[in-house]
Amino acid sequence: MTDDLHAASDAALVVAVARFREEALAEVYRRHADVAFGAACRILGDTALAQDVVQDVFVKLWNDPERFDPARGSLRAFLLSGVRSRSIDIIRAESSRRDREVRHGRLGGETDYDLELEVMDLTMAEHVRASVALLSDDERRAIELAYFGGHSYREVAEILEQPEGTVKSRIRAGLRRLRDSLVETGVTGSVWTES
Amino acid sequence: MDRELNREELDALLPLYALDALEGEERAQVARYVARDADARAEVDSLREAASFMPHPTRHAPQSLWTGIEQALAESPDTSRETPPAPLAALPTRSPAPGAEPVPGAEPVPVMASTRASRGRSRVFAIAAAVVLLLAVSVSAVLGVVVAHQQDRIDALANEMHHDTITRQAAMASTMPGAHSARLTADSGTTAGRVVMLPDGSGWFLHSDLAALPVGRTYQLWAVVDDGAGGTRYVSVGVLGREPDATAFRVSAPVSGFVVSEEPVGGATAPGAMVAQGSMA
Repeated sequence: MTDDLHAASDAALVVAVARFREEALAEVYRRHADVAFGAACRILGDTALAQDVVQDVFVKLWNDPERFDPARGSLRAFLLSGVRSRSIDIIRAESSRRDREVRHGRLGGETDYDLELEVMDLTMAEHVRASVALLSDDERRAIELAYFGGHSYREVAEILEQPEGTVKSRIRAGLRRLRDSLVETGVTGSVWTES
Repeated sequence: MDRELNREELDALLPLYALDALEGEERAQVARYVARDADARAEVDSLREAASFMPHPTRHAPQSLWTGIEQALAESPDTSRETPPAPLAALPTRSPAPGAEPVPGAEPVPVMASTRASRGRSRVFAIAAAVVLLLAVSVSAVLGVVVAHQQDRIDALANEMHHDTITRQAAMASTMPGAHSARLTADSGTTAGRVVMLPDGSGWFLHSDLAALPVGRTYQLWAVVDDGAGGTRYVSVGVLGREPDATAFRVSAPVSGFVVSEEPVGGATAPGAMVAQGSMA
């Protein structure tokens, strides 16, 4: 009964979730829980909070699967967006950003990006690595502070002690280059723009 | 910020908006721009998708995480929806079915001891039967609502998947040799929809931002083709409905442009009030 789910697309899995098939949610969990949990740990720096956030996101998918719109992006991006949004709400409610930065530093050594890529198709994983490698260190740092840290570009500029305009340019150029490369190599769908 | 940003400035801020890295008025202006512009929305979606490929740390999710999810599902009212209806004989006597709202006055009445007179027993049986019937009706009502809701969410997702398929077909077609596209603009200058066509006559209408029409009205898509006498004529491509979605179509003649008109339900043989138009690029 679950063999069909192992081969199902993410979108088909979400339809099965809409039909209240718990094993479909289990398959979504099998595919995406590790990266969701890793992202929550990185943002929150607290495994217990991260567990709560990921649980909320999966239960939300169970209760409101129609919120996932396959036309707007992948299920992975949808789940990570939920994890990120909830995590950032939590840390913005906390008073001590400094503590979080310390925890980020500590957790940094425990991360395992390569492990995530191992479970992807090998060719695709190589494309992702190559695309991310196109970012300069400065661009990558600025994007990470905004994406994982939940900082505004003004805060990123303060942290990096760089002019705001420079940070804006780095985020803009870096993220667009990453997107274009992922599209070009077929990792993500093309964006249909008028010719 | 005390001024309105122009389109170029707003476009430049989309990557920062995609990462939630904007604040205050800047964020509000970009949010309004994204809400009204399909291109901007698509750009933000694609940038967020790209950001999800940033090196995310993977950490093995602990077993207790899935256990917690399972417990949460068990506590969710939705979980009971997959449970098949219980036979009446198995209905609980003290409480309604899981997820069912308590029915006022439907509390089971305890059956009295058999020393009561038969007339009393009959009354008790009658009350008990009424209670069981009431419970059955309430359970049926709950299950009916549940089934309708479940069908709604499946329909919604199936529609999204259909939309996704059409959108992906159009995206693939737009990259093929000989593909042409048109932006259909309303009188106000806003983008009302897009069309992409291949030389073999296959076409796709998508990215509709047309406002929903009242009941009894429909949008209709027309291809503008050569009439053979130096002029043009309109060929109906299809009725798009009150709230147009992504649609595939086929036109056999060479097309110079497209028009969307508003018509009575069922469509028309010639375009009435034109609401958007555009030429093939």
